[in-house]
Amino acid sequence: MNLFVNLVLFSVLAQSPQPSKGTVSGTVFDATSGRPIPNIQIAVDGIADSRVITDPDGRYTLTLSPGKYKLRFTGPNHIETTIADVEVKAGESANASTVMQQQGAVTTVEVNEKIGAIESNAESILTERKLAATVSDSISKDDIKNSTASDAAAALEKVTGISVVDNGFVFVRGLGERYSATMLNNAIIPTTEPERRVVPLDLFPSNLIDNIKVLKTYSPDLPGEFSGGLVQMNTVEFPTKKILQVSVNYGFNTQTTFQSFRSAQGGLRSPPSSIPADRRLFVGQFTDQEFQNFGRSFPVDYEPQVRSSARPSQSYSVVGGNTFGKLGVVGAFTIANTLSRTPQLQRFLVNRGGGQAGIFSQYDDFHIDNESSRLAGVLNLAYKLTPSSQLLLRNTLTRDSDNEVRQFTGLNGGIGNDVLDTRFRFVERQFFSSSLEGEHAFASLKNSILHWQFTYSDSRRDEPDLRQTIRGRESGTNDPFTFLNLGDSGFRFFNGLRDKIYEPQADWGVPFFKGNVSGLFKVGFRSTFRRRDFDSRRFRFQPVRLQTLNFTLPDNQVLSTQNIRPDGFVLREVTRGTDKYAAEMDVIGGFAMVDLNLGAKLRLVGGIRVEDANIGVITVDPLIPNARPSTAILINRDPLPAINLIYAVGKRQNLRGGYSRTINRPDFRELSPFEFTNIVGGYSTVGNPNITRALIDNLDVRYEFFPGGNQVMAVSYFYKRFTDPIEQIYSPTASELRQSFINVAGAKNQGVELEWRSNLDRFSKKLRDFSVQSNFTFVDSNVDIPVDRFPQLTSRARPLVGQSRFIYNAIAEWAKPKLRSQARFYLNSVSRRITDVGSFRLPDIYQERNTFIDFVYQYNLTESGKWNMRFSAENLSDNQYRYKQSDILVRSFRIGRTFTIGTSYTFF
Amino acid sequence: MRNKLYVILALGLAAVSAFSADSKSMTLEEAERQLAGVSQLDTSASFWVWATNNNRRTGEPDYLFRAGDQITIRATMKPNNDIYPYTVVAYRQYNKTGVKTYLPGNTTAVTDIFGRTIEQGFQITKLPEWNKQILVGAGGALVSTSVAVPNELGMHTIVVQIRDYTGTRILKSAYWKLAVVSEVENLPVNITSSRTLTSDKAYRIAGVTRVRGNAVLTIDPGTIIVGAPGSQPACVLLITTVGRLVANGTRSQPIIMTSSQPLGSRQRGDWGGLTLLGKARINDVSGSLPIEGVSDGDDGNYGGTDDGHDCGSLKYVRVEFAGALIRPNEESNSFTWGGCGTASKAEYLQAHYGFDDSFEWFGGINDAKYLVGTYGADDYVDVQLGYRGRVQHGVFFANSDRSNRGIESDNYERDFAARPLGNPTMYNFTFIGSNAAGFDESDSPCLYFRRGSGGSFNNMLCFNWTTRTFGGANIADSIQPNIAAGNFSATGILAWNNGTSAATPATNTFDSQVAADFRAHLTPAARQFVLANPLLRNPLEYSNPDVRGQIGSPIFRASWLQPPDDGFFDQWATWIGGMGDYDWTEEWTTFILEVDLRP
Repeated sequence: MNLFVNLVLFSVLAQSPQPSKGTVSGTVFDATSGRPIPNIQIAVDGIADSRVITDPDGRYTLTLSPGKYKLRFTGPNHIETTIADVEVKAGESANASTVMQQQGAVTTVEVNEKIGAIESNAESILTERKLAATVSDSISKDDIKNSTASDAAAALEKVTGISVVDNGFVFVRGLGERYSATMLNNAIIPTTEPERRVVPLDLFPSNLIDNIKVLKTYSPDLPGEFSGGLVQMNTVEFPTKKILQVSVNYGFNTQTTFQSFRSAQGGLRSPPSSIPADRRLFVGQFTDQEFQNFGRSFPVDYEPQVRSSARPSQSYSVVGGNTFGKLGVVGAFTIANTLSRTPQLQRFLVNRGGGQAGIFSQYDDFHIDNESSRLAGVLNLAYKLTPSSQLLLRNTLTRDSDNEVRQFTGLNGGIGNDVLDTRFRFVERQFFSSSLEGEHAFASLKNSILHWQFTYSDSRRDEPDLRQTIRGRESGTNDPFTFLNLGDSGFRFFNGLRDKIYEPQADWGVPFFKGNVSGLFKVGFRSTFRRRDFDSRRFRFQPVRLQTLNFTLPDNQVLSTQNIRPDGFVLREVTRGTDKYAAEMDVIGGFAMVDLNLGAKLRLVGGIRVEDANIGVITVDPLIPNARPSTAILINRDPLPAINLIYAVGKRQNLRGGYSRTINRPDFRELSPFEFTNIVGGYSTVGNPNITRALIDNLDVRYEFFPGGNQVMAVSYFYKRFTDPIEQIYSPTASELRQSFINVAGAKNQGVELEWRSNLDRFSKKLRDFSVQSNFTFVDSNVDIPVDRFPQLTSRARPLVGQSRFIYNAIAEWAKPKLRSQARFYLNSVSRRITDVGSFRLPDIYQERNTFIDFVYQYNLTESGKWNMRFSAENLSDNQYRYKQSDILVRSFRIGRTFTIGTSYTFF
Repeated sequence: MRNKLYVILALGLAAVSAFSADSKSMTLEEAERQLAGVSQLDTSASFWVWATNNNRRTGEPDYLFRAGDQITIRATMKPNNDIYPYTVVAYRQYNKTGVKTYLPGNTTAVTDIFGRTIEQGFQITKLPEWNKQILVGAGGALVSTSVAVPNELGMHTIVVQIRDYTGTRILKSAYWKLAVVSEVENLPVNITSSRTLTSDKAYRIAGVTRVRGNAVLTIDPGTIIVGAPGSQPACVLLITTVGRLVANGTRSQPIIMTSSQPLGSRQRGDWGGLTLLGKARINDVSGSLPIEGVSDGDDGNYGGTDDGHDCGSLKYVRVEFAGALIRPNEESNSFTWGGCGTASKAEYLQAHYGFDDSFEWFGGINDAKYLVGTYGADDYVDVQLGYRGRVQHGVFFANSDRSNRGIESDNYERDFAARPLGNPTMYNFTFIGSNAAGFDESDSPCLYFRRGSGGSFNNMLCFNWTTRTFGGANIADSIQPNIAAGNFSATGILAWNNGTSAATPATNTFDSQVAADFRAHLTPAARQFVLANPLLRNPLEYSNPDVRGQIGSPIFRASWLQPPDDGFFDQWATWIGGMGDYDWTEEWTTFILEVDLRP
């Protein structure tokens, strides 16, 4: 759909005639609070037009003939400001943003007179940060573009205090995905992952993203489920001029490209139509003949195909936009295809006695070959109803698929044999979000601003026809592998998840000015209605009379159509009663807060939010008529206070302090007393209906110094105390470990963050082409485990899962406009972190410290900068990823170095 | 020897003269046959009998009848060249009163199958070759009209006997159990007050039936309990740690827990199984664990500190077609004991066509005797989590098309050195393999030890098993210390023709039959292996096997280890294997392959 719209859009753009006029646009900010100011009158060369005022976002756009102009900004509560020498060229757009001081308040922070374009560049983001009410760190479009990142997850790796785990889940300040939330265009978004709470950010290609902000302190207008951080992504912003850019990239991975590659074909998209959709295949309710027909309706495809040479990865994208009178349109579209091979070593340990670890299973030859395809588009529209009110419609669609072949051989300690395990997995994830948003500034109502938004988001994840076979042979021999009759050998599995969120929200802010005291009073609400449906069906081929079958033949012959017969393989449905569930979570929150400037130096942002949450999980066996549903329910009402103080130590320095209370609610699956088997992980998981939500007390202090330009120095300290935090525990079952959830006694998490961003010309003029930025995070966390209740867990006190003690990022940039060149060098280092909690006297599993080095070089082929070449080298160090348990390497792999060459052309 | 023969001949001649009064003259060949017959105390014929209900109700097994239902009785007889001269007697016995009704005339007076009374003299006959022959019912060989079952609630037994030609000595019998009931009652999900299940009804388990709240569930002899396939959760009878089961059947009236499906289409895993939980010690560090997918509360957590815990008493109980999937990749066992203590009783138990293990112990210290495992899909005797009990007398048959491990013994999977040490003492098991590929594991030795297993395994007979006799894993690091400390031994292990069809065929030698890593540690003091043909009578006739030793069988040797005199073990079982001369499986068990029951 979006593709079509975009194509139409671009063809329109391409045909429009060259205009003879140019535009000037910008945003007007309040110098104290950093908020955009609506209803500011703009006069051009002394000529005021009552229609030329800033919109609720503080933005304005003027269309003028070429020439130089002087702009004057006036408002009832602000001191008049002027920008001189604004040059307008035909067909181009000039930026003229400014900051206005409040009347009665003295300047508190020094800001450049002109703070760049609205579209995010590093500097404007920094200004925004300087003026922000809460502690935040962010990454701009420029930063994303200049890095090797191809998606939001990779882009975030460079942000202070952030680490990204499992290709897409963000850890903020050492707190895992449980403690982070993601918003897209100011709306909470649903997840595509049945076992996760948040959406993996690798779903969002970087081309679609304007900026990502990570909020680290809480303010009452944010959802109360907040502790580590809130990732706010915004899709491409509205253009102030016509834009059209296309880009193409090809990537070569040393470990994948031109290597032999296994791939799978022939999977079904849903269970065969011959199988009744609403009836379980009970033995006894269907005849042998019917079972044979059911079984034969599955295509026989269990053996991977091997390609001799894997092709390079490729991506294509286009971004375009324009303004048509009152209507602004921007669209972006991208497609990509990437192959990856990850050969690895995997071991599983066992306690041989007294905590002495021994190897239980060992797979030296563990391969994952994956083909990932992605398609994504954004279409955003803005319509100015009046100069002081506008409507926005923002649509995002992403769709990606992974076609994975996993194959491994080695000793499996559980069955005491060498096994050859082959699994085909196809996962398709789709995310769609559409939001309608209105902003209205009411000059008659004390310049108050009403903002409302309704968002509908829909995530789907389809994993059709997972196929697995397991073959075995006596360990230590070179006998041929023979087909093993195990529960997951000859297995076909279908599952689908759909998560939807309906989210209406509105807030109303009234600014007030009284002598030395000024500020904004804001009330609002946000209701998040989340609905989830999960559905799956499991089948396996079970051999009946073994002597009629030859298990030494290859899988496709063992499980051949003619072997699907009553005395050969019979199809059995092994779907469980809890394989379908529906869940809902309604959170209704209201808040009142005030943003108060007390004199020149002190600013206070505080208030309270009250959230009512109602979570229900209903499990019902869909394949049994009139089955009794089982329900788990959790209802809570929590008041959540927050206060942030900002003290301007000097014109360029801020001191911030904040306290807030936030909550962390159990997820659907954690609450439901039913047992689920993780689709991805393999552990079976049973929820605990007795767990409660956790409360978190957050304390933050930060000192910031902005020397000017794109430079900053910041030091932060944070402390978080968790009451009743929800942690995973493991207990044994007859055959495996089972995961569950408990409220542990308590946990704390504290740390220090340092950030430094500087041009080097301050040290030597010779270094003026260079700038460096680096950030460093130290986190110390501790979880107290009540050992008497959970004796299986090895560690009595340990860091939070996924928390690295140190995270270090350094970026060195060299830019030489004369040579039309820019280069960036990245260093990212993450210290060891727990990936799995140890049990049965086996220690915790740690992922060892790893360091990554990336390099990007860009060259403008044309003077105008319209045609750009880009070369990047990712993961130059190609260090081994290493996971250790008790000094034994339990997992190791490399991902190879990736060299990408790309070009982009900007038509206008 | 010669003297003995004379005696037999003399007896035979006397018998022939008595018989011939009523008989016409015979050929020399016939006379020789008769003489040979007289010398026999046994027959090599194989046969079995079964019955179906013409009015079978959906969801009820063919074992169940209402008064007036039409019955069809069938039999298969394989004379095995042993055809003459015998007499054959068939009757139905009402086990509550013991009254026998003889076929074909439905008389209380004893007749043979030709309707001849003792007074008339039974008619000698060649053994008939019956292949799924209808005996009673439309077109039946004995009664050719349809027959209604009488209004006698409780268990009945159909019996067919081969007797010697005088009709006095019973050489071999086939039995089939059925029950006439007034109704099938649904058991509740929770049994929280004591109650008795009586044999005038049958009972249906729907989902997990939990005996809890200090309730005692008593099951009368001859009662049939039914589980249905496809139930979610699977049908399981769970005796929680605060419940007790008294299921004392008798040889003639065993308690049968079975599938609801018709004969011939019953399958492993049609329903869950029987699980008993107690508070005896297990060796997980937490002290107690749930049975996954079955436990739903603290009383479902087995294990504790009371080694004397009484889970109840099981006697003459058959669990058939159990092993439903309770979690992905995890089926229930036919019989499960978790943390049961010394006060618990278990004897004369059969696990028939179980999907998972036939008998599994999770820790605890309860004893068991006289176990039969037939055609299970997984292991027959499986112990883990520190089981310390005693087990004696077991016969285990792998299905003709699959087998797995005979014994699989772990100390504890997650801590090989956990204490209390899993240290069971077992005597007198016979394992008959199918020489077919393993079901779950390609390495499926008859006796398999791993993960720190201790224990004393004695007088075990493994014959025709898929893989070699003796194997395991984690031997050097986790079992060797037990061998050194005298906590692991294997004595009197007789192995023959195991692993002969493996990819690398095994030979009947110690080196070939015992895994290499075990050989290094099984010092002569710790083991006694016998590699000899056990000369069993008819071990591979699945539906009617006979694993007693032939004359001259090496299972009988005066030098074999004698079980200890500790009040539990039967010291007189001085043979290798689960059976000497006496067949303790008679009447209460069933061995018939499902395929042999298909119409």
